[in-house]
Amino acid sequence: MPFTEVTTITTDHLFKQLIHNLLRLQDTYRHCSDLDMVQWQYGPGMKNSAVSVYFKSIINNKKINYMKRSMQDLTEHIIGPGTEVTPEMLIKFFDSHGASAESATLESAWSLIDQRILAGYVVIFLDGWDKAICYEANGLETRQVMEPETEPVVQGPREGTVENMQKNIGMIRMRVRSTAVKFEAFQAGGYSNTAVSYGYLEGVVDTAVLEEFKSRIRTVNPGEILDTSYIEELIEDSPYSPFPQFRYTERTDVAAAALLNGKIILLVEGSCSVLICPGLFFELLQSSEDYYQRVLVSNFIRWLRFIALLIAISLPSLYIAISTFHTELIPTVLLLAIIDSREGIPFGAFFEAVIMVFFFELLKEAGIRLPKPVGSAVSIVGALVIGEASINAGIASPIMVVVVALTGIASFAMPQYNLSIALRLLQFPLMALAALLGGFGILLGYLFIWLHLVTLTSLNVPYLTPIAPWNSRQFRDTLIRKKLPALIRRPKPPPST
Amino acid sequence: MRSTLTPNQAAVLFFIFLTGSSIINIPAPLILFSHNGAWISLIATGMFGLLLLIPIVSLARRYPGMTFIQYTSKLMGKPAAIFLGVIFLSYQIQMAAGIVMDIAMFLKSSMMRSTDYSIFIIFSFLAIAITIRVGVGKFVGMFGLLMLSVMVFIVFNVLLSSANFNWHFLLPVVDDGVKPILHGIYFISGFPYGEIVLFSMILPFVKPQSSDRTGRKMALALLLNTASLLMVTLATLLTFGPIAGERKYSMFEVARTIEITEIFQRIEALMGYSLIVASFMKASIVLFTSHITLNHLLGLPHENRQLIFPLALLCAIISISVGIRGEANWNFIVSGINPLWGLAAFVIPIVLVYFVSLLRKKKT
Repeated sequence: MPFTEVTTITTDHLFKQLIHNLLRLQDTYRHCSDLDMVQWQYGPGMKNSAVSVYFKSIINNKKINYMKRSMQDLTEHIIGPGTEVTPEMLIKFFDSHGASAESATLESAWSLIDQRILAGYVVIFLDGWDKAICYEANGLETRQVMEPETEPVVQGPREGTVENMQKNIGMIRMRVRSTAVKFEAFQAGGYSNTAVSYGYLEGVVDTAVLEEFKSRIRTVNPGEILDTSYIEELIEDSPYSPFPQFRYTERTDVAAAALLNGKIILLVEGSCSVLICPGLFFELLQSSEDYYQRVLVSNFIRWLRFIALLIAISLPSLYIAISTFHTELIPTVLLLAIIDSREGIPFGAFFEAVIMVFFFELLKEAGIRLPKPVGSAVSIVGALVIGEASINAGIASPIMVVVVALTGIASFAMPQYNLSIALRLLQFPLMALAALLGGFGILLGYLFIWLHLVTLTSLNVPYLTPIAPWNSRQFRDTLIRKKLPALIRRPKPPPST
Repeated sequence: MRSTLTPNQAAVLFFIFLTGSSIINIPAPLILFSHNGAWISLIATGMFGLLLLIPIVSLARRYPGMTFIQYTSKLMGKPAAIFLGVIFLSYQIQMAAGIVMDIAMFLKSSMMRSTDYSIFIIFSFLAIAITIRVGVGKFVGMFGLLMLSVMVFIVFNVLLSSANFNWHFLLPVVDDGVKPILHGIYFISGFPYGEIVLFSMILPFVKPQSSDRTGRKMALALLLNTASLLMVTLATLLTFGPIAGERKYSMFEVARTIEITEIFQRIEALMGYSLIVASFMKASIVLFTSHITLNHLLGLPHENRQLIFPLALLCAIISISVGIRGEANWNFIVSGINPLWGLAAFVIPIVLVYFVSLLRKKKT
């Protein structure tokens, strides 16, 4: 049986006989109903066989016959009319001229041909030739370029990335038109064999960081990569830290700005998230809009975010500490108001806070998971109806509802979603410490968080740069944003002679 | 890898070491001893501190990468180094225990009266030990920002309290003669200025640079510290006048007097934060140096971190046992024994080693 004859040959090289190649294909792509193998004839008396192989689910129908047609056109002009072409002439022609048509290549290894077929190429096998002509015919519809929902801005470009990596790279290239922009690519291996690409600005990126990144990215292969976040977890310094060590964006302008700042950006085929590495703590509090607004306005917004960060992490714990241990610190009128509102509440401040924060987190999660129209109903029922009812029922005090709501709003003010999750996570241990040791407990909690931040690194770059360690150049854009002329990197003037 | 410091970081650490805890603790006892002449004592002792910086910096420069124990051993032999080292270590352990004791006493007396001392002491030492394990190059970065927040709060406090200042309280300056001023000088030449000798254990961590400006930067840090202490001492005097010396944790008490409209009142929490954080940082520096001293005495390398937790435990036990004896006993230790012990364990040995090094230099 020819089938067994083929499988015993372990070579990666194509066979000369078309039948052997077809058997190999049938074996490899068994049970793949969306694979088409279209046999066609050419040459004098239509006696010579050829087969086009492609996944009809991936390719553009208009391109299926493209190579067949252009082959006939080419041969007509150079080696005679299509009906008279013999396989020998055709093979000689391609061997000497190569495949000159659009994105076409000649391949002779099965491993490469399989990759091509899976990537949406049409592969043409000719009888009597141990090579195949492959040309790109991917016609999968992708999403239109839109403003990313997670990173809206009031002012500035509204171009977002899509699920097509090459398109994303193209959009970034259009923003930084320099030969120094490099994009290196590799296949992630595994079953998914996803295409991954990382870009950097040569001459601006820190070479030590780039080397570290490259050494880590090598560990990704083989890996089943379905989204950029998979790679984040595989290459980050401390996977168990609550703090994100890389940044994400879906905006091409942010990705381009990151390149200009000497960052490495990583894109994955099929994902619209661009990973920016290394990601430092203070960068997580910056937004692209900081540079599109006037200096004063953007500084005001940036400080608003710093305050929001403090509120998001510590307001419930501060409330617990002050109302349980340090009531003398509250101005008298406010103290009376709090006591008045807490009268009749069956729980202590700690339990009340934990219950409220827990249910708030639950509502938030439910709101995200549910379809949009229902999601808003949940937030109305959750926030307004349950909140109001629990106050009336005497389960929660109004001031606690205010505290929890303010904490939630503050956490929404973080430009990076993964930072706001980290803050939501950290408020629980802080609340426990506040309940145990009051203000002293909160201080201890802060110290531990601070210590953790000091020891954290992202691609070996200290996480709290430019504050610890101090870097005055980078500090110009940290707690305050200086005006743009002070921030823009300019080439140093040549030393005076 | 060995953790290193830049000259700037060393100066920041020096400022934190001098200012942390003393900025809140110094005014009351100083005013108690020197009355209205407290500021004169402070300036005079600041000058003494500058003088003391000379042997520390020049010894570090002469023996780069070597700590006090190491160059003492080289100059005076190993037995002398061990003898001086043990006294040196004893005072450091006492300092660390004392600073944390202060945190505990403050918390118990002002904010959490029904909690036991030992709870604060154990948790503080736990935090300190974990901090030191991180390494000096890293915790100094964390301390910089913390100290900045402390200084901002203190300046804010002084500015707000200026509404209650009574300028007549500054006079008469030397009503009781020069003796009270001398008493004040004696007291603060132990704490905090005598303690700067501890930096003979930290300076070897500073990265050697072609133009060494560490000494100048440290002198600047010391001057800034004297200015800060002067500011808080004067603010305490101006607020409380004759009874200023009776007010323990002066800045905390000053904060209590602030009441400017409905908004600025009850800001003593900020001072509580400042006291705890500043003391925590100072205690960390002291435990760090005592750990290095112990490593060197036992012939272990700088990087060894195994003794941090045992040392912290020892300090915690000392703190708790002192705490049991009550606040009056503690006050006696601070104002009676402490300056003498500091002089004997810190100031005299370094001056001695410095003179020996000068003599050796002349001979060669």
